Amino acid sequence: MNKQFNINELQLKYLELETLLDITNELNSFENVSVLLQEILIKSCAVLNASSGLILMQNNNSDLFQIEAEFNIDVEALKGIIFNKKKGFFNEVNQNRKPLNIQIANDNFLARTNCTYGLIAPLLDKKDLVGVIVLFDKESRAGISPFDDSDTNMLSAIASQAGVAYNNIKLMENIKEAKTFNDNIMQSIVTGVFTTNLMGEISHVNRAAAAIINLEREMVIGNHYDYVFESNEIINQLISKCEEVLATISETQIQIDCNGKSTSVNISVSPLLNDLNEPIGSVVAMEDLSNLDKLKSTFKKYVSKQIVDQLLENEEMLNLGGQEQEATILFSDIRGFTSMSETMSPTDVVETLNDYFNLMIEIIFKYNGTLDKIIGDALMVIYGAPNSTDKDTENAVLTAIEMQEKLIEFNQLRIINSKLPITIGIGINRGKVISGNIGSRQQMNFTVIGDSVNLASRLCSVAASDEIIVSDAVWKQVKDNKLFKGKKLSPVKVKGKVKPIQIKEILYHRPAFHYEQAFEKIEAFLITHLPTKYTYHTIHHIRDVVEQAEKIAKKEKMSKAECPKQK
Amino acid sequence: MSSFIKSTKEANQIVIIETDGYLNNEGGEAISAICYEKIKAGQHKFLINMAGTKVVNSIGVSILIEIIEKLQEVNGKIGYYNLAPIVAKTFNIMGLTKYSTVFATEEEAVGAL
Repeated sequence: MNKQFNINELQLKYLELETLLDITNELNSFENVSVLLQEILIKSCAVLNASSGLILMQNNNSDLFQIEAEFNIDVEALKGIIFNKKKGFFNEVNQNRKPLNIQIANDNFLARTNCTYGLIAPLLDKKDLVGVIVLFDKESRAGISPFDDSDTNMLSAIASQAGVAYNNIKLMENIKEAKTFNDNIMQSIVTGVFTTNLMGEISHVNRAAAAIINLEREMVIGNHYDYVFESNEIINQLISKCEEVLATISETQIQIDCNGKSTSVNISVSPLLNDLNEPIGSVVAMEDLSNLDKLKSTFKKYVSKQIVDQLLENEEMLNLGGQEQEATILFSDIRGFTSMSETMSPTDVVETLNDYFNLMIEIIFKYNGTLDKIIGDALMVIYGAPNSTDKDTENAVLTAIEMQEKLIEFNQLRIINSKLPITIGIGINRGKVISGNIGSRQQMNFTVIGDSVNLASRLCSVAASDEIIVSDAVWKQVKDNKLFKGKKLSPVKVKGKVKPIQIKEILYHRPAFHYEQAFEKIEAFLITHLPTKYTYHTIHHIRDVVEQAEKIAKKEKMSKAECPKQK
Repeated sequence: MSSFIKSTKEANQIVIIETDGYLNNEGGEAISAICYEKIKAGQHKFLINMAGTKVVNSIGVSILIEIIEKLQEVNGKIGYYNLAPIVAKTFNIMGLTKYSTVFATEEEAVGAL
């Protein structure tokens, strides 16, 4: 053989050094552990003339190794082998933290590789063994041979570099994982969150924040908060104040302009601090109240604002159960509505009830009543439950008076529009009730039950059209208020009570009826609808006739009893 | 044929061998077996397409050197193309490129050999 062609030791050492240098240079360019390990294994096999190799890494949850990289080896043959870091060759490497040169006996689990020799080098994370590089069968032109000390040193150097790179990649992966985790949390929370840096530039915006301010995240990130919130001076002021005092600043229920859309929000601005507790920016948290406002607004159709606010502040109020307390109960009922509705179309019935209820419920909520239920054309209203005030009964009576007064105006409009007027009777009682959420977990109603409730309902039945009848218990609570005038009525016997009940009628100012307007409408109606066989005299004519008849009666000294009753 | 030899073909009286896998003792012997057989048959020009070989060790290189020595006895030539950078670097360090040629493409190699 020509000597110039021989591969000499110098060339081999040069190759080893170049390989080690390559590994060192490339180590930090890998972002993925699998790719790094595969590259290290290939280079190790090549430079040490190994016929094949494996890299085993520790499973996160146990002492077992699993194959992370393989080269020129039949891994199928290794299936089912348990690579335990605390057993056999691996245990020795684990104990000594040094490479181990081995000969593989026929009964050893590595015999399934069909290899005779092996070189195992530890991959360390600081001092912990996290994996091993295993090279098999050193090749030569004469066949295979054991690895020598030089190979051991070389693999040890490679493994040491690989350990550092592995740890760096793992660290980067952990950082990325933590960042992704944080980002996912930030993106999934419903509170809008912005962060600003020391320059006042917005460095982070979560999805909720972008939605609240109605801007794309890309349009916000990198811009100064002064610019982003230029139409919301309040936000800029809060951030500036936070930067100045380095403490959390909050504002509740402020209205902000979000790219043309007005939104109600709660805002909290806190300083963003680094490990050394030095300020590095601010965190702005925004809570969008628009959904809450919608919820409140919907809820308020059913209960008073007072109850809505209490429920939102104290969820325990939603617990099933009850308590005994004093409350004032108002019942109202449209008189003769059943017979009246028989003459109306279903649409007119619904329209009439809706108009009536809209008017009445507005008055009920004005005086902090809780609309307990609508029963046909009747209303049941509670004052003083769940929370009571010293004005509960007064509010109930004020409600009743305003209901009657507003109904007069309501009826005038109905008459003008050729509709039948409606009248109501109202009964109010005060006494002990059991209040609470009654029903099932799926559907519950806040209500009150008890004798006092039943009596309020009975008083409503006693009340004639336009009357407000109250129990003695109610009258005692409001009689000192000069707003109210009561008229004593005869005690009444009501169902469920042995003794007659003392009652009062609450008097109220009944505005003068606008007869002229009504007359015009009635006249127009009669002219249009009266059959031709009847002769229509105008209202004025009828009034003249009645007045003349009265004069004649007076002259003839007729007694009242002889006069026909007028309704 | 060894699984390391993916294919062999001839063009312009050049034997083109395509490899796949680790150019070690086993791979090198697979190449040398073909080369020696073809030399016996009177062919003296060889090209190795190493697109599928990403790793080479010094034993594989020493076998290629043995083939070069054999070819020198018959005024033959051997060349390589589609080399991975690490393989090219190893060939260079081991001095292989002094006695044989690395080409970029098959066309270039066939034209030059």
